[in-house]
Amino acid sequence: MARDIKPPHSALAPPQLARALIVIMASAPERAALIGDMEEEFAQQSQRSPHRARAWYWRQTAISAPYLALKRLRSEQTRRLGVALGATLGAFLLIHYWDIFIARGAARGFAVATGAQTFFLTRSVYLLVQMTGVSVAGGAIAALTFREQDSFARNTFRRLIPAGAIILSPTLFAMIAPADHYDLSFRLLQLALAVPALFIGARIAMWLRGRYR
Amino acid sequence: MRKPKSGPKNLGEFEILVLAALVRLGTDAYGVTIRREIEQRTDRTVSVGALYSTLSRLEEKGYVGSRIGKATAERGGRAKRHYEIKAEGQAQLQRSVTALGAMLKGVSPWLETLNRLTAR
Repeated sequence: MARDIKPPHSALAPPQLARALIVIMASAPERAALIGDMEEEFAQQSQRSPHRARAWYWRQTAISAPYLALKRLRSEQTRRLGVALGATLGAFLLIHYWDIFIARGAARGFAVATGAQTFFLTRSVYLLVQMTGVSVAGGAIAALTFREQDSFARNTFRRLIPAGAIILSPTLFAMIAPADHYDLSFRLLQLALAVPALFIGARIAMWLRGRYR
Repeated sequence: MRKPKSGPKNLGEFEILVLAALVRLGTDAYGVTIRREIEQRTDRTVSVGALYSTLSRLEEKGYVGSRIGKATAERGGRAKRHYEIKAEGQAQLQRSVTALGAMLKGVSPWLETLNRLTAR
Protein backbone atom coordinates (compact mmCIF):
# COMPACT_ATOMS: atom_id res chain seq x y z
CA MET A 1 0.00 0.00 0.00
CA ALA A 2 1.14 3.55 -0.74
CA ARG A 3 1.31 4.57 2.92
CA ASP A 4 3.81 1.80 3.66
CA ILE A 5 6.57 3.48 1.65
CA LYS A 6 8.86 5.19 4.18
CA PRO A 7 11.41 7.93 3.47
CA PRO A 8 15.08 6.98 3.87
CA HIS A 9 16.42 7.30 7.44
CA SER A 10 19.08 9.79 6.40
CA ALA A 11 16.45 12.23 5.11
CA LEU A 12 15.85 15.29 7.25
CA ALA A 13 12.26 15.55 8.48
CA PRO A 14 10.24 18.70 7.81
CA PRO A 15 9.27 20.88 10.82
CA GLN A 16 6.64 18.86 12.67
CA LEU A 17 4.61 21.87 13.82
CA ALA A 18 4.46 23.37 10.32
CA ARG A 19 3.42 20.01 8.90
CA ALA A 20 0.74 19.63 11.58
CA LEU A 21 -0.63 23.08 10.67
CA ILE A 22 -0.82 22.12 7.01
CA VAL A 23 -2.56 18.83 7.88
CA ILE A 24 -5.16 20.70 9.94
CA MET A 25 -5.79 23.44 7.38
CA ALA A 26 -5.76 21.47 4.11
CA SER A 27 -9.05 20.03 2.86
CA ALA A 28 -9.29 16.24 2.62
CA PRO A 29 -9.31 15.80 -1.19
CA GLU A 30 -5.96 17.57 -1.72
CA ARG A 31 -4.34 17.03 1.67
CA ALA A 32 -2.17 14.00 0.81
CA ALA A 33 -0.98 15.42 -2.54
CA LEU A 34 -0.26 18.83 -1.02
CA ILE A 35 1.79 17.44 1.87
CA GLY A 36 3.52 15.03 -0.53
CA ASP A 37 4.50 17.95 -2.78
CA MET A 38 5.88 19.89 0.17
CA GLU A 39 7.87 16.87 1.39
CA GLU A 40 9.26 16.26 -2.10
CA GLU A 41 10.45 19.85 -2.43
CA PHE A 42 11.72 19.86 1.14
CA ALA A 43 13.74 16.68 0.49
CA GLN A 44 15.29 18.21 -2.62
CA GLN A 45 16.12 21.48 -0.88
CA SER A 46 17.50 19.80 2.25
CA GLN A 47 20.20 18.10 0.12
CA ARG A 48 21.60 21.56 -0.61
CA SER A 49 20.90 23.24 2.74
CA PRO A 50 18.85 21.72 5.58
CA HIS A 51 18.53 25.13 7.23
CA ARG A 52 17.15 26.76 4.08
CA ALA A 53 14.84 23.80 3.51
CA ARG A 54 13.29 24.24 6.96
CA ALA A 55 12.94 27.99 6.38
CA TRP A 56 11.30 27.27 3.01
CA TYR A 57 8.85 24.85 4.63
CA TRP A 58 7.85 27.38 7.28
CA ARG A 59 7.52 30.15 4.69
CA GLN A 60 5.29 27.97 2.51
CA THR A 61 3.14 27.12 5.54
CA ALA A 62 2.76 30.79 6.42
CA ILE A 63 1.86 32.00 2.92
CA SER A 64 -0.41 29.00 2.25
CA ALA A 65 -2.37 29.36 5.49
CA PRO A 66 -4.81 32.11 4.34
CA TYR A 67 -5.67 30.25 1.13
CA LEU A 68 -6.17 26.92 2.88
CA ALA A 69 -8.20 28.46 5.70
CA LEU A 70 -10.43 30.32 3.23
CA LYS A 71 -10.97 27.19 1.16
CA ARG A 72 -11.82 25.26 4.30
CA LEU A 73 -14.36 27.93 5.31
CA ARG A 74 -15.96 27.72 1.88
CA SER A 75 -16.09 23.94 1.89
CA GLU A 76 -19.36 22.03 1.74
CA GLN A 77 -18.75 20.53 5.18
CA THR A 78 -18.34 23.98 6.79
CA ARG A 79 -21.40 25.28 4.94
CA ARG A 80 -23.47 22.35 6.22
CA LEU A 81 -22.28 22.94 9.78
CA GLY A 82 -23.16 26.64 9.48
CA VAL A 83 -26.65 25.79 8.19
CA ALA A 84 -27.14 23.25 11.03
CA LEU A 85 -26.09 25.78 13.68
CA GLY A 86 -28.23 28.49 12.08
CA ALA A 87 -31.25 26.18 11.90
CA THR A 88 -30.79 25.16 15.54
CA LEU A 89 -30.50 28.78 16.69
CA GLY A 90 -33.47 29.78 14.53
CA ALA A 91 -35.56 26.91 15.91
CA PHE A 92 -34.53 27.83 19.47
CA LEU A 93 -35.64 31.45 18.99
CA LEU A 94 -38.81 30.33 17.22
CA ILE A 95 -39.83 28.10 20.15
CA HIS A 96 -38.92 30.81 22.67
CA TYR A 97 -40.93 33.61 21.03
CA TRP A 98 -43.75 31.29 20.01
CA ASP A 99 -44.06 30.32 23.67
CA ILE A 100 -44.11 33.94 24.87
CA PHE A 101 -46.37 35.52 22.27
CA ILE A 102 -48.52 32.78 20.76
CA ALA A 103 -48.89 29.87 23.23
CA ARG A 104 -49.32 32.06 26.31
CA GLY A 105 -51.54 34.46 24.36
CA ALA A 106 -53.75 31.58 23.24
CA ALA A 107 -53.97 30.25 26.81
CA ARG A 108 -54.87 33.70 28.15
CA GLY A 109 -57.43 34.19 25.41
CA PHE A 110 -58.97 30.83 26.21
CA ALA A 111 -59.02 31.66 29.93
CA VAL A 112 -60.76 34.98 29.28
CA ALA A 113 -63.25 33.39 26.90
CA THR A 114 -64.15 30.62 29.35
CA GLY A 115 -64.01 32.78 32.49
CA ALA A 116 -60.79 31.16 33.71
CA GLN A 117 -62.73 28.39 35.36
CA THR A 118 -60.85 25.46 33.87
CA PHE A 119 -57.15 25.41 34.79
CA PHE A 120 -56.61 22.01 33.22
CA LEU A 121 -58.15 23.06 29.90
CA THR A 122 -56.19 26.36 29.85
CA ARG A 123 -52.94 24.47 30.34
CA SER A 124 -53.96 21.96 27.69
CA VAL A 125 -54.54 24.77 25.19
CA TYR A 126 -51.16 26.26 26.13
CA LEU A 127 -49.42 22.90 25.64
CA LEU A 128 -51.19 22.21 22.37
CA VAL A 129 -50.21 25.57 20.85
CA GLN A 130 -46.70 25.34 22.29
CA MET A 131 -46.17 21.88 20.79
CA THR A 132 -47.43 23.14 17.44
CA GLY A 133 -44.54 25.63 17.60
CA VAL A 134 -42.12 22.84 18.50
CA SER A 135 -43.38 20.87 15.49
CA VAL A 136 -42.81 23.89 13.22
CA ALA A 137 -39.27 24.13 14.62
CA GLY A 138 -38.72 20.40 13.98
CA GLY A 139 -39.98 20.86 10.43
CA ALA A 140 -37.66 23.81 9.86
CA ILE A 141 -34.66 21.82 11.14
CA ALA A 142 -35.56 18.90 8.89
CA ALA A 143 -36.11 21.11 5.83
CA LEU A 144 -32.78 22.89 6.29
CA THR A 145 -30.47 20.12 7.48
CA PHE A 146 -31.77 16.74 6.31
CA ARG A 147 -29.72 15.26 3.47
CA GLU A 148 -31.48 13.77 0.49
CA GLN A 149 -29.25 10.70 0.28
CA ASP A 150 -29.77 9.68 3.92
CA SER A 151 -32.74 7.76 5.30
CA PHE A 152 -35.20 9.42 7.68
CA ALA A 153 -33.84 7.41 10.62
CA ARG A 154 -30.25 8.39 9.86
CA ASN A 155 -31.22 12.05 9.40
CA THR A 156 -33.14 11.97 12.68
CA PHE A 157 -30.26 10.39 14.55
CA ARG A 158 -27.53 12.62 13.10
CA ARG A 159 -29.35 15.95 12.72
CA LEU A 160 -32.71 16.21 14.48
CA ILE A 161 -31.68 14.67 17.82
CA PRO A 162 -28.54 16.85 18.32
CA ALA A 163 -30.47 19.99 17.33
CA GLY A 164 -33.40 18.97 19.54
CA ALA A 165 -31.07 18.37 22.51
CA ILE A 166 -29.71 21.93 22.14
CA ILE A 167 -33.18 23.44 21.75
CA LEU A 168 -34.59 21.60 24.75
CA SER A 169 -31.52 22.09 26.92
CA PRO A 170 -33.00 25.10 28.86
CA THR A 171 -35.88 22.87 30.00
CA LEU A 172 -33.44 20.12 30.98
CA PHE A 173 -31.23 22.62 32.81
CA ALA A 174 -34.26 24.05 34.65
CA MET A 175 -35.13 20.53 35.79
CA ILE A 176 -31.66 20.08 37.26
CA ALA A 177 -31.75 23.43 39.08
CA PRO A 178 -35.45 24.28 39.56
CA ALA A 179 -36.65 27.63 40.93
CA ASP A 180 -39.00 27.84 43.96
CA HIS A 181 -42.14 28.19 41.86
CA TYR A 182 -41.02 25.42 39.51
CA ASP A 183 -43.59 22.85 38.46
CA LEU A 184 -41.47 19.76 37.76
CA SER A 185 -44.29 17.50 36.64
CA PHE A 186 -45.47 20.07 34.10
CA ARG A 187 -41.91 20.51 32.74
CA LEU A 188 -41.57 16.75 32.45
CA LEU A 189 -44.83 16.66 30.52
CA GLN A 190 -43.58 19.46 28.22
CA LEU A 191 -40.37 17.59 27.59
CA ALA A 192 -42.17 14.30 26.96
CA LEU A 193 -44.43 16.00 24.42
CA ALA A 194 -41.66 18.07 22.78
CA VAL A 195 -39.68 15.06 21.58
CA PRO A 196 -42.50 13.51 19.49
CA ALA A 197 -43.61 17.02 18.43
CA LEU A 198 -40.14 17.65 16.91
CA PHE A 199 -40.27 14.26 15.24
CA ILE A 200 -43.80 14.79 13.85
CA GLY A 201 -42.80 18.25 12.54
CA ALA A 202 -39.78 16.77 10.77
CA ARG A 203 -41.91 14.00 9.32
CA ILE A 204 -44.53 16.46 8.00
CA ALA A 205 -41.83 18.71 6.49
CA MET A 206 -40.28 15.77 4.69
CA TRP A 207 -43.70 14.58 3.55
CA LEU A 208 -44.43 18.04 2.13
CA ARG A 209 -41.11 17.92 0.29
CA GLY A 210 -42.08 14.60 -1.22
CA ARG A 211 -39.51 12.58 0.71
CA TYR A 212 -40.24 9.38 2.71
CA ARG A 213 -43.93 9.31 1.76
CA MET B 1 -24.51 50.58 -27.81
CA ARG B 2 -23.72 46.90 -28.35
CA LYS B 3 -24.99 44.67 -25.57
CA PRO B 4 -22.15 42.59 -24.06
CA LYS B 5 -22.44 38.83 -24.51
CA SER B 6 -23.28 36.92 -21.35
CA GLY B 7 -21.13 33.83 -20.87
CA PRO B 8 -18.69 32.32 -18.43
CA LYS B 9 -16.59 34.86 -16.56
CA ASN B 10 -13.06 35.43 -17.73
CA LEU B 11 -10.35 33.68 -15.74
CA GLY B 12 -8.35 35.47 -13.08
CA GLU B 13 -4.65 36.16 -13.58
CA PHE B 14 -3.47 33.24 -11.44
CA GLU B 15 -5.99 30.89 -13.05
CA ILE B 16 -4.55 31.82 -16.47
CA LEU B 17 -1.03 31.11 -15.19
CA VAL B 18 -2.06 27.72 -13.80
CA LEU B 19 -3.88 26.66 -16.98
CA ALA B 20 -0.96 27.84 -19.12
CA ALA B 21 1.41 25.79 -16.94
CA LEU B 22 -0.81 22.72 -17.44
CA VAL B 23 -0.68 23.22 -21.22
CA ARG B 24 3.13 23.53 -21.09
CA LEU B 25 3.72 20.56 -18.78
CA GLY B 26 1.33 18.10 -20.41
CA THR B 27 1.34 14.74 -18.66
CA ASP B 28 4.01 15.78 -16.14
CA ALA B 29 1.77 18.35 -14.43
CA TYR B 30 1.48 17.91 -10.68
CA GLY B 31 1.83 20.29 -7.72
CA VAL B 32 5.63 20.57 -7.66
CA THR B 33 6.15 20.97 -11.41
CA ILE B 34 3.25 23.42 -11.83
CA ARG B 35 4.51 25.60 -8.99
CA ARG B 36 8.06 25.51 -10.33
CA GLU B 37 6.95 26.32 -13.87
CA ILE B 38 5.02 29.40 -12.74
CA GLU B 39 7.81 30.56 -10.40
CA GLN B 40 10.50 30.23 -13.06
CA ARG B 41 8.53 31.92 -15.81
CA THR B 42 6.95 34.75 -13.82
CA ASP B 43 9.68 35.30 -11.21
CA ARG B 44 7.20 35.27 -8.32
CA THR B 45 6.75 33.08 -5.28
CA VAL B 46 3.81 30.72 -5.50
CA SER B 47 2.39 29.14 -2.36
CA VAL B 48 1.20 25.55 -2.44
CA GLY B 49 -1.99 26.69 -0.71
CA ALA B 50 -2.81 29.19 -3.47
CA LEU B 51 -1.98 26.63 -6.13
CA TYR B 52 -4.16 23.87 -4.71
CA SER B 53 -7.04 26.29 -4.01
CA THR B 54 -6.92 27.41 -7.63
CA LEU B 55 -6.61 23.87 -9.00
CA SER B 56 -9.56 22.78 -6.89
CA ARG B 57 -11.65 25.72 -8.13
CA LEU B 58 -10.74 25.02 -11.75
CA GLU B 59 -11.63 21.36 -11.24
CA GLU B 60 -15.03 22.35 -9.81
CA LYS B 61 -15.65 24.53 -12.87
CA GLY B 62 -14.83 21.57 -15.10
CA TYR B 63 -11.74 23.16 -16.67
CA VAL B 64 -9.26 20.71 -15.16
CA GLY B 65 -9.22 16.99 -14.45
CA SER B 66 -7.00 15.06 -12.04
CA ARG B 67 -5.85 11.54 -11.33
CA ILE B 68 -3.86 9.99 -8.51
CA GLY B 69 -0.34 8.86 -9.41
CA LYS B 70 2.25 6.72 -7.70
CA ALA B 71 3.51 7.17 -4.16
CA THR B 72 7.24 7.60 -3.61
CA ALA B 73 9.48 7.48 -0.55
CA GLU B 74 10.72 11.00 -1.34
CA ARG B 75 7.17 12.25 -0.82
CA GLY B 76 6.77 10.48 2.53
CA GLY B 77 4.79 7.71 0.87
CA ARG B 78 2.17 10.08 -0.50
CA ALA B 79 0.86 9.85 -4.05
CA LYS B 80 1.15 12.60 -6.65
CA ARG B 81 -2.02 14.17 -8.00
CA HIS B 82 -1.61 14.72 -11.73
CA TYR B 83 -3.64 17.46 -13.40
CA GLU B 84 -4.63 17.96 -17.02
CA ILE B 85 -6.49 20.71 -18.81
CA LYS B 86 -9.85 19.75 -20.31
CA ALA B 87 -11.35 20.98 -23.58
CA GLU B 88 -13.58 23.43 -21.66
CA GLY B 89 -10.48 24.73 -19.87
CA GLN B 90 -8.64 25.23 -23.15
CA ALA B 91 -11.59 27.13 -24.62
CA GLN B 92 -11.90 29.31 -21.53
CA LEU B 93 -8.16 29.97 -21.50
CA GLN B 94 -8.37 31.04 -25.15
CA ARG B 95 -11.29 33.39 -24.40
CA SER B 96 -9.57 34.97 -21.41
CA VAL B 97 -6.26 35.45 -23.22
CA THR B 98 -8.07 36.99 -26.20
CA ALA B 99 -9.93 39.37 -23.88
CA LEU B 100 -6.68 40.27 -22.11
CA GLY B 101 -4.94 40.79 -25.45
CA ALA B 102 -7.75 43.06 -26.63
CA MET B 103 -7.44 45.15 -23.47
CA LEU B 104 -3.66 45.40 -23.70
CA LYS B 105 -3.62 46.25 -27.41
CA GLY B 106 -1.94 49.63 -27.79
CA VAL B 107 -1.12 49.85 -24.09
CA SER B 108 2.54 48.89 -24.51
CA PRO B 109 3.69 52.11 -26.30
CA TRP B 110 1.69 54.13 -23.80
CA LEU B 111 3.48 52.39 -20.91
CA GLU B 112 6.87 53.02 -22.56
CA THR B 113 6.05 56.75 -22.81
CA LEU B 114 4.94 56.76 -19.19
CA ASN B 115 8.18 55.03 -18.14
CA ARG B 116 10.26 57.58 -20.04
CA LEU B 117 8.40 60.47 -18.43
CA THR B 118 8.66 59.09 -14.89
CA ALA B 119 12.37 58.24 -15.40
CA ARG B 120 13.24 61.91 -15.98
